Amino acid sequence: MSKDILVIGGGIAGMQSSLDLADMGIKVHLVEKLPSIGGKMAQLDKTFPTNDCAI
Amino acid sequence: MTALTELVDITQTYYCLDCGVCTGSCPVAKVFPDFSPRQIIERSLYELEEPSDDTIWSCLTCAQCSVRCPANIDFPEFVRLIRGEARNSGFDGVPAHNGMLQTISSIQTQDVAQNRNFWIEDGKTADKGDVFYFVGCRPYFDVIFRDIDAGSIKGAQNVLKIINACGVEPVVSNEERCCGHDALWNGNEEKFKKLAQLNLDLIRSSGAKQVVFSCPEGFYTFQNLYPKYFGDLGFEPIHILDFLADKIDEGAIEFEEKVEMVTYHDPCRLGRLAGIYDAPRKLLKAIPGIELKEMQRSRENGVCCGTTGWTNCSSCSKEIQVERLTEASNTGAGTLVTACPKCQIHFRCAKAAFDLKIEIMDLFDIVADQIKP
Amino acid sequence: MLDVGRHPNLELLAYSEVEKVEGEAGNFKVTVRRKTRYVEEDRCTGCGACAEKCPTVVPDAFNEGLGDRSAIYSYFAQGIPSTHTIDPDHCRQLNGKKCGICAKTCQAEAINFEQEDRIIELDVGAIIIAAGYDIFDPSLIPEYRYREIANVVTAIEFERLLSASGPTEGHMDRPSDRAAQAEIAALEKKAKKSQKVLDKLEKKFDEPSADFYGKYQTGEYEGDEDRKKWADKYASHLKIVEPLEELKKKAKRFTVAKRLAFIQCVGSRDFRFYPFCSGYCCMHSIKEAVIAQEHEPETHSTIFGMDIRAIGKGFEEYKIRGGNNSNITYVRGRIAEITEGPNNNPVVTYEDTRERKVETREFDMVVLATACAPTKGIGTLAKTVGVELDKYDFIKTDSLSPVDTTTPGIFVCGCAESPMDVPESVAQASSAAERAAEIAFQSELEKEKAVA
Repeated sequence: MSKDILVIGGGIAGMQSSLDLADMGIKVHLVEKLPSIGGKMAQLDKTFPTNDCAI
Repeated sequence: MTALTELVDITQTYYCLDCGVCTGSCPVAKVFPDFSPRQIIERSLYELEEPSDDTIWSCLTCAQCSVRCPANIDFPEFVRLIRGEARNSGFDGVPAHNGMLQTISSIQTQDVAQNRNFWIEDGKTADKGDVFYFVGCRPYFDVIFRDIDAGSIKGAQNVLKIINACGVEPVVSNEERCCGHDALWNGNEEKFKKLAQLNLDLIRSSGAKQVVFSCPEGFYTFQNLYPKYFGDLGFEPIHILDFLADKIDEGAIEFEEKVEMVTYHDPCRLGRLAGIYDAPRKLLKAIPGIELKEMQRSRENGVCCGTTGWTNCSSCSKEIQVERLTEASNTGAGTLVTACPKCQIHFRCAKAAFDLKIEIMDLFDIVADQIKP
Repeated sequence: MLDVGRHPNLELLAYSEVEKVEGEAGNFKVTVRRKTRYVEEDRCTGCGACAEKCPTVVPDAFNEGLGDRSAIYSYFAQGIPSTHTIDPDHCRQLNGKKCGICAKTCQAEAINFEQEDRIIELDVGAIIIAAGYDIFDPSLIPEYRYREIANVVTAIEFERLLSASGPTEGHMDRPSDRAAQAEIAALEKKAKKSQKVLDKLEKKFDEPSADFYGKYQTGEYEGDEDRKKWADKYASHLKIVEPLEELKKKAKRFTVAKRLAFIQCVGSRDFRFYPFCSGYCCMHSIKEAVIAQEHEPETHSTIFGMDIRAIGKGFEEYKIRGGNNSNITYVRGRIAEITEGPNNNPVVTYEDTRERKVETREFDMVVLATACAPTKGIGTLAKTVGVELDKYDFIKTDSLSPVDTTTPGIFVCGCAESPMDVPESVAQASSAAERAAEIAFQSELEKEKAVA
């Protein structure tokens, strides 16, 4: 068993780190102070330069 | 042009981002496109600026550009230094009123017998005391601006009346000199220093602990500029607004009702340079019946009254003044209140020349008239 | 986002805050406060029936206050977890008033007003800080009159207006017009109520109110108390109806915003606030202008700035495409001042530094490309976790180890480290994950060694 990792913040950066670690088989605890994850990125309509949907 | 290049180093204008905020903010550039703070800096950086450039005398030193500058460049200070260099090369701005006011202040650098206190009348003053009332040049203006009803003498009397109402009989000296503000901003540092030294000697020998001002220029000059040149003053310059605020809070001064809708014009020296925005508004609101309507361009965004230092008063100044008075009228207020004797004179001049309807009042004239005996 | 919610190796602790961190790399003890939602997480299905019935209206933070939510809410429609939360500052029940409507509505019986914060302890080998950033508050710049002029908005507010799931469903309705529409709705409600009273009186006296009022004003019914009441009612009705008609007339002229100005470097590259370049705002403005033009083909956007920093894969091409296909004009010059002109139109004053001319132009809406500011709670968090901040209050790192904080075993990624855009955040996040994994696996190796 490997050690667990704590990720503070559930925006795009926190989500990406968490998923990468979880995919490696490491147990991750993701702490987000707001009721839902997503951060500023979730507030964006589309992203540049491809106009992809942000959510 | 080595001298101007040095000024670039002193004022760090090489931080300029070339963004145009200064020129876009400048009230002069709007009406006189040849004048552009950004382009003066640009020319200086390329060593192309010449002391003969007469646009440098158009700057109002109102600091609208410098408070907004994202590179923290103090353009008015830069202009002041360039003007000094220009003067050394024999150039000068165009003095207003035939240079009479410049002459008056030059005479005051000498040992001269003055008759400064002719205006006092009923006011109570003392020869010695903790509080010194620095009257400033205001009573002198009467001779020149009587035709536009500038109320220069009444203004000084009213300030004294307010100080008396606060229970203080201040020292008012016949030996007072011009504070040197205009000389300094027109690049005449030598004259400024002479005047300042005479004032400092006078006040220090009087033993006063506080010096009260109503003139924003005098206050700013004493509070911010004298210490730069002379270090610790040995007394505290205080604006009458601060002096009054305590007395009003204590309830020592009360006002009669005056039903009037007014708007308030922030003088550059009091507002942007000394940071006093709330006190005059609070004072106006303390008078029952007064309704204050703000102009859109107020406080930090207040527009200059169009001329500074009795220099380069032109059609551009008039255009700025008329625009400002129109903005004031558009608030629905019948009276524009300002706290600077010079703003008042400039606006009254434009009002007379263009036959505008709005009334122009000095804040302290209103206050003095409404004080309950 | 969905993956985060359902990954078996990932425990999602939303609505929680780190309170204490002890220990060192490989062996941290972390205390986390799980704030009470007053809703049982294992019961709430996220159906939203409670939010529909909740009588309390609160400005919606997710929509930057441009829309409303109820006191019981999900942070946003697709939010994960979908568990609803009661806002203790606004909930009637929690503020001592009689309510509890949500509890009565909830079929899953998930509402629990007695629920308390829970404290949990975690043992972790490494910590990644991804605390993000705050939007710079442009009301600190008095010359831009943000909050004074309704149609001056921040880029993130504009983003919500652009969003199909936002308060305007993607229509470029101007905030001033929306406020007027809201006032019309409120006045109409009032007018309807007072009309009802008038109807009764008209029936009673068998006369239309307007006819009666005309006569009343000539003094015909002096001394008649009942009719005086009617007249008073009608007078107050007129006070509602007249401004209502005025507003309705004005509302006929409302159109979507078609002339847009984007102002770059609001708070960034500004020694009064943040001297650094926030990096993403140039592209963000271009993107918003492109999308706005997609929504409304007649949209013309002008982007004001010192330069357009299009540094990134495909960015420069995107900028040029915007100019060619999306009616975007780029003007070199920073806006000196925004004032309010007729029809609530923002008017910008600036020097076009290429033309060397001071210009004044009117727009329908102005969008401020606000700086990436360090997040407010970062000082407390840094202290709790035990890492240093740089001079701006971003997490301190070194250019050769850009995800390592000053404390071993604690890493950082995203805008908590410095301003950056989405692709960079993602790259840095993977990098931080990699650094953290090294510690996670190292402790595994050490454990194996100990056993051997």
